[in-house]
Amino acid sequence: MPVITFDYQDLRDLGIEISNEKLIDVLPMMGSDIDDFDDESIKVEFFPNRPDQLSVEGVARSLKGFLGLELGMPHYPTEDSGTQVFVDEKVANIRPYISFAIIENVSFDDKKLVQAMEFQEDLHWVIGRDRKKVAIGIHNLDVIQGPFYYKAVGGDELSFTPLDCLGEMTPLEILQEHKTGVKYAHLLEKFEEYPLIVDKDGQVLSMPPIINGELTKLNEDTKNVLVDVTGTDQQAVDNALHIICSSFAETGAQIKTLTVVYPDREVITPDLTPKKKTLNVENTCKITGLDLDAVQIKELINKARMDAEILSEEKLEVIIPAYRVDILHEVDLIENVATEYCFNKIESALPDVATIAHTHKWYTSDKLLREIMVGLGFQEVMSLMLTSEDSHYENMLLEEDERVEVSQPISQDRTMIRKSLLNSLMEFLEDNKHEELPQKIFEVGDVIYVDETAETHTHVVKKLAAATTHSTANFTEIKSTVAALMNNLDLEMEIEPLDHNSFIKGRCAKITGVLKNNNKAAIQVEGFFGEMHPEVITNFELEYPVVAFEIEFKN
Amino acid sequence: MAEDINRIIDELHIYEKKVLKAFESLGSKLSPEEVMESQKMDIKPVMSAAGSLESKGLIKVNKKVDEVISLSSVGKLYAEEGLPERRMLKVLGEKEALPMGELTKKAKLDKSESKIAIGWLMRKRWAVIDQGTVKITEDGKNALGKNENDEVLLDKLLESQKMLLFNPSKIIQQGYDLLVKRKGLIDVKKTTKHTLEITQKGMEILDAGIDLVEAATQLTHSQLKTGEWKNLKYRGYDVHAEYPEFFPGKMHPLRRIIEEIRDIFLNLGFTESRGPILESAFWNFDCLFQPQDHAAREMQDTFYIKNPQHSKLPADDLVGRVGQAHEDGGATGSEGWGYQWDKEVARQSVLRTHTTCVSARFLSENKPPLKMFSVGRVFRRETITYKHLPEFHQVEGIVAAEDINFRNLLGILKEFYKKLGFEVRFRPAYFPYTYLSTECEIYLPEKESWIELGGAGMFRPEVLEPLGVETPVLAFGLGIERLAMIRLGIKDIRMLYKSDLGWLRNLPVTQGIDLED
Repeated sequence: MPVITFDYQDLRDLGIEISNEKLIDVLPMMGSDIDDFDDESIKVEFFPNRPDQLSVEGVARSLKGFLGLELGMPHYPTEDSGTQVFVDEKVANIRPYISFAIIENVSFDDKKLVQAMEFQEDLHWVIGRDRKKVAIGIHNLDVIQGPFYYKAVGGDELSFTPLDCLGEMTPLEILQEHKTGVKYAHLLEKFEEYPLIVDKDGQVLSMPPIINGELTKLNEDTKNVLVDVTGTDQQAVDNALHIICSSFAETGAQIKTLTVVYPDREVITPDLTPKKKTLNVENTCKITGLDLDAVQIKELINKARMDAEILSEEKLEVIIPAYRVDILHEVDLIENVATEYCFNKIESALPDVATIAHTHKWYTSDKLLREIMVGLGFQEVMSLMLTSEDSHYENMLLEEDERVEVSQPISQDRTMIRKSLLNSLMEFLEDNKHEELPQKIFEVGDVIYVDETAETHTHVVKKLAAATTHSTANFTEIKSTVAALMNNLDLEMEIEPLDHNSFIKGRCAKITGVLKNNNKAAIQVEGFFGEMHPEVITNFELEYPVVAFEIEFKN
Repeated sequence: MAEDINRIIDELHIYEKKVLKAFESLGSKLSPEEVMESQKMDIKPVMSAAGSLESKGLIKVNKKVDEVISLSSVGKLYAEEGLPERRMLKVLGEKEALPMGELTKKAKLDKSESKIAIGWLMRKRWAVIDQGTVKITEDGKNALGKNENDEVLLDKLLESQKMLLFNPSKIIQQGYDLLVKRKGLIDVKKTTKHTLEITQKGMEILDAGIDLVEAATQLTHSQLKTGEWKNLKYRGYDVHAEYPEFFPGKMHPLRRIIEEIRDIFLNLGFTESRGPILESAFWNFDCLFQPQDHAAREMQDTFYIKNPQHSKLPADDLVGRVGQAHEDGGATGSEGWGYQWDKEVARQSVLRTHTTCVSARFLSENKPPLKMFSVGRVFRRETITYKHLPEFHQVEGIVAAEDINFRNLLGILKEFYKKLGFEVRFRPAYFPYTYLSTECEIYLPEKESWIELGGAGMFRPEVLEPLGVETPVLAFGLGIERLAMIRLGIKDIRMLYKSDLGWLRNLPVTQGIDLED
């Protein structure tokens, strides 16, 4: 989640007088997570649905409403700048959408420059999906002149000085050599021509979505800026632009529009026209459980910095500012009503829904298995389902077979999903070599088999495995254990010799369990037990005999 | 005091009594051999009885360790023929200086002896080596015809065969120090001599009188059957004696909490469900209105599957409605996410990142009113640290009914945490598939802070409409491991899966559970 850092003083500069303690109480109730704070500044996480709160100006705007200092939708008037932007048809296949805004009367200092950059980067991440969908450039307007051109050029057609560089580079050089260029080169790898924004004299502003030019770099003397937003999704591009404009406007800056001329259409950006949605009083009350009338709902909507018009006792029309990109449905307005009402003022109540509960048989049987194993003196252990081929096959002297493999493992020892529990039990014994013997452990757990016929091409199987280690652990001991288990599951046990690589040859048996007194004689469980092979034991760096069994349950 | 003495006598084993008795006739200091002889006992029972008598403070066992030295066969040979360096010195006494090979030959030494001899010649400063030639020194000349201390000791040992190393003279001690530096010349035997000495308390016991009637130890089957027990006296035991430790088989502590959570939801009338662990992106993300380019869906956070890569999708109409909801909201009343939804992306298999997919499946198959819960493993691409694991447990729950609302969601969660002994608060949050989304935090009095344990909210219309659900649905998904860590008082989440057996064995089953009424 995006995190923003600001000073308490920043809020005071924006007209909010609030004690530090109160702020720390209030912010979480607006929908944020306080990461850290000290006497001067505060670090807050906001949820990704509210990119408009990723600048301190945006936070202040919401906070003013929540505290009742300013209500209703803020109005940010726009004026036509008369500037045009021409879009070359060649960019249509590369990065088709571009929107612009001019913002006049801004003021920067060191800190504000940093905050502006962080804001831009957060938007790149939250709306832009790391610049893939949306990339933003903010330029010093006073060093360039419109009209502007958005075009595509060949990799070495021209060169310009990228941000924070001393010399000129061609687009191709930037992608191959510049740090930021290399990082984002994958976004343009499919193309032979690269997008550029230039001014009337051909001066390069930006090579979206990679890097801006050094020419238009912001500094403390910058008074007027040009914002460009490019991307692959018109709505996302405009959302980002509206959020930036609204944030600057909150400080008193003046927004001016430009005309973006595509080969087939003309668009005036930014278009900060609010959208409208109907909010039903009954729906609001029914779902929040609050008893509110249209007037009260309007007040709460105003606190959420939206306007509302009461259409009837039953209906309001809510006017939503352009920067609120999170409102997709009436339910989002209902959520805003409840948030502004404040969650901790809402009384809880148990639902009046009578239902009869059923346990799931899968877990009922888990519980019974656990009862028998604990009764036999075994300690239950739990292990991760993610394991590795090394542990699961190689250490157990088994051949690899079909299994669920994860595509980007977190580490070499978590590459696949287990099909057996035994290797994890061995790992457990290995970790606990220093503990007193005898050690008797078991696990009841799910494993996953590949199964092409199933919906997920896999199915989950319940397994039970147990292992015992001490100086005289032997076949008879584990046989008695298995027999006790089978007997208590009301299963007729059938035993036959089995060659299993993990066990000493001639000291392993296959078991099947069939329901007693059942004519159908369907196999309920299947598995094996015996004395572990010395090589397996030493693979897990153990020094005493281990006997074990594993059975699987046929559902 | 008398009672104390009687109790001590009562607890005496027959062997202990016999050893004590020995002091009656033989005096207050005895060797074990004397006890053996007078009491007709073997050495083992005498020593073990002496040990336990000492621990009861009735006797003192004094130990004296003696070292007896003698010559080994090599030592004997050297004693007879002279140490190898002495033999070389003799040759050097005649020739002053010789090359090493010749010196060895003349001294009649083999190669390994020659090495030793040269070494000791240097050590004793009898000779120096100059470019392969061994030259006698002044010390060496003086040593001719004079025995060093080690040689003195060798001679003595050859004569007497054995020697007790007790308060040795300076010469013997120095000789010994030199000889033990060589391998295998002398054998050292350590013998421990014990002396048993009765204490004041022991005397009191003796004075009180001990009868030597053998007291029975183990009550046996045959004693019970024959009635012999009526004539037997059973020795009292020292109740503070050492005992072997037992470790019971137990449920895993995390499992115990999971069982407790299951009980709570079953008691609240929630039916239990389960679903696939390896799930299609469709059920894990798409039908929960999580846009296909959502950050949580990236490889960074979610385990995708190399094999088998894809899952089958459910019926076309459900898939179609879900896709429509993403694109423009479809019939849900929503604007949707405004992008082109891709069926192929939905077919990708993932390890489920939450149990919310179990709820989605349940809703697609069951009609409200209903209450459902499910406990299961979920997976996130996290590296294993003390704080995070790539898999953990969640409890998921939903209530679907005509007249339920947000207050009911808070009510259920409050009740759940109350039953676990926690106070809970709610603050606004965001999940793509819920509105009135909230995060629950519980209060930790010892840390005076709130910690976040799970998310909840009302399922969005974009989720419900495609599934054909017409009532509101409240939903929650709560982490279990963090709750368990608080309960069990552990700081490292790995403890739960890579457990220390000692910890499991010694963890009380009552840990974190309030058993007061």
